[in-house]
Amino acid sequence: MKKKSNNKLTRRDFIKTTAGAIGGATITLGFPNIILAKKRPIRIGALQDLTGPLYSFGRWGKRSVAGAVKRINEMGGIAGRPVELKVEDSATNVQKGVMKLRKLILKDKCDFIIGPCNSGITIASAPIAKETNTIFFAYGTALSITAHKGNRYIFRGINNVRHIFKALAMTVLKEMGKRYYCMGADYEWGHSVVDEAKRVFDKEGGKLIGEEYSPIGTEDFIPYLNKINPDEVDVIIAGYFTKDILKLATQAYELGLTKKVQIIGGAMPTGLTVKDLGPAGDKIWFSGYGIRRIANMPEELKKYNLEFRKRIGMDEEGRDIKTKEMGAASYTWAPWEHVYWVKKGIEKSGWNSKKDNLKFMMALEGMHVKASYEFPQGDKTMRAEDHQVFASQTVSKIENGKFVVKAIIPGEKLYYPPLVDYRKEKV
Amino acid sequence: MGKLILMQLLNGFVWGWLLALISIGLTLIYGQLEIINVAHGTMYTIGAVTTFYTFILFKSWSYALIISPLFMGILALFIYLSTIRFVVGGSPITTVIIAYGILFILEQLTLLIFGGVPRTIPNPIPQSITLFKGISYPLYRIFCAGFSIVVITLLLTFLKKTKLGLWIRATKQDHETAAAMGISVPFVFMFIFVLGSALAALGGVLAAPITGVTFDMGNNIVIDAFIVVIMAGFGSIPGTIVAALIIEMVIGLSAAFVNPVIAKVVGLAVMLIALYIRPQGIFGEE
Repeated sequence: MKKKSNNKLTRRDFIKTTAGAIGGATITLGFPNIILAKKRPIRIGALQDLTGPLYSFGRWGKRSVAGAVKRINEMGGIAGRPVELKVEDSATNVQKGVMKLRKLILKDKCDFIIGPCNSGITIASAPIAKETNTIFFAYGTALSITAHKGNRYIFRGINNVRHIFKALAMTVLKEMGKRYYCMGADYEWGHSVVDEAKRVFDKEGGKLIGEEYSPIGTEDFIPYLNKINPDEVDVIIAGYFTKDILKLATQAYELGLTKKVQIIGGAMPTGLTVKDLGPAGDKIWFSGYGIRRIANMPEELKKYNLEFRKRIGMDEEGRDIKTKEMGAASYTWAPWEHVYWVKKGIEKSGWNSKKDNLKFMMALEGMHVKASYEFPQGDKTMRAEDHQVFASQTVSKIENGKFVVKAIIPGEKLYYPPLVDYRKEKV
Repeated sequence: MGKLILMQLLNGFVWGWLLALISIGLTLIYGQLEIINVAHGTMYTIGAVTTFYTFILFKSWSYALIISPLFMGILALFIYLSTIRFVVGGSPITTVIIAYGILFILEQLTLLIFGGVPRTIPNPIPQSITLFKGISYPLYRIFCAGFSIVVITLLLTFLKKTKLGLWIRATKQDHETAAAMGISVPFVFMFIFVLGSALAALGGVLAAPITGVTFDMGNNIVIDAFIVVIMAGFGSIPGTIVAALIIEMVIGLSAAFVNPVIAKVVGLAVMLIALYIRPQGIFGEE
């Protein structure tokens, strides 16, 4: 007699078994992945100019990113996920910078990159960011970074050289003579400074007397300065930074040029004290992205900046707390804020991995942030079209041995039409 | 235009003497030890860095004229005794690799101690002399040229008139014969390495108030020094002086008409022409 099979599967059994199997599979296979995804740290790569001519910017950029990451982790991370930091030195060199960028993205698997101050490296990084689907925050200030040489993956949380000359045009330029001579470091940023100067001076009815470029790290500016006749020039535009602006100003002073000619610096003299600049210092006008001395800041920003500086080891005068070496106060806030732009973007978009980069981009496009511990430099807007921030800009001069802020121009007054619309790019 | 040309020639003349002072150190070392000292630029940097610290300590630049070459001399003595003496007479590749090693160590130590931030030293002679109406030239630069001329003259006199100078010349001609005549060749080698390094440091002392001080400032000057030494013919002091003056004055003159970067290319072209005509260098031996 044939035995009744015990293995007969009823419809109820089938549903039970299938539901159990699916549930079990979800638990055994899927759930740990969800847990892992939740716990996997968000990796930020900081590519900074830790050696080479932009060393002063890079070492503070590194401290700034590290300080922001530490603060975020102390407060529970981003969307419950810890943040991990990887740092690489670009050596202020485009080839090395690009190599290190690839290492951060491909080997270290960084999700976001906080880029260096070097505009040349940033421009070379833009296609790599796109190719590797990696969002890159830039604080090089050449105009083209958020124009035809950037792309949708590049966000810049700091003003650019166009803002410098807009701020100068709104304040001191009208009082200066109209005959101007342009000098600049022979790379993207130096050319960008000169281009913007010409644009603004031409609008004001200025007359270009001459234009020269010199390599970064030029030791002797006298062969260049000899060509300037003080009877024919009112203003020298100097697209140089740190030691180059120092040498140019000092040697112009020694030649007696500064008796008649004023100098406009394309950047704040990062890393240099008033004493370093010597007697030539008070002949230069500077337009800066940030304020070096806490005493010169608007009251509402002081508490944020005191906390920010405490975390990165900078004192109220913009110096290293321990060594008293002058820092890069006009720029250092930008990498700090870049980390917080990452946080804002992830929180608003629900970003989980690089697959969500488009959602992240759309979240930041047009975002306005208020002055806070996260954004100590002040209020600012990330313009949707070109990913260019509009923040306040200062005009400064040395008076009686101290940097004095002559004007603070709010970001909204520095408007210029976007030169590109990255939103049209496919991601 | 005439004024501009004269100004550029004067600037070239000044830099020519300063470069000659630095390059003589390089050529002395090669002439005796046959070591291509690529670390020579870093020794120039160390001269400038010690000038900065001397200025901080004594509030005077002039002390550095003694202290910096002395400090570099002691450091060079240590470098010679610990490494160089083992590779003298070795293959050029070995000596260049050793010199590169020294360069990296010295440069990174300088970065570690001095930091990457550029520093300045106030101009010790801040006055300028008026050359034409409304155009002046820094007096300190003229002092630099004058000081370099004095040091080079003293060096040439030392080499010609003293017993040690005679030893050095003899050793340069033939090591083995010099040794057979009782000259302590290892001592001459050591002395020359220390002297050449001290001359580089002295160049750094003079240049520091003009160029400022950075941890990597020697990287540019060492290229110029090599160009001068190649054009002069390795080991020739008079050739080095002539080559430095020709190159810097040609660069200066060209800079009146073209961008100073292009002017440097003109300087290089002059070197190439000189080498085409005299492949052994202006004063080099066949």
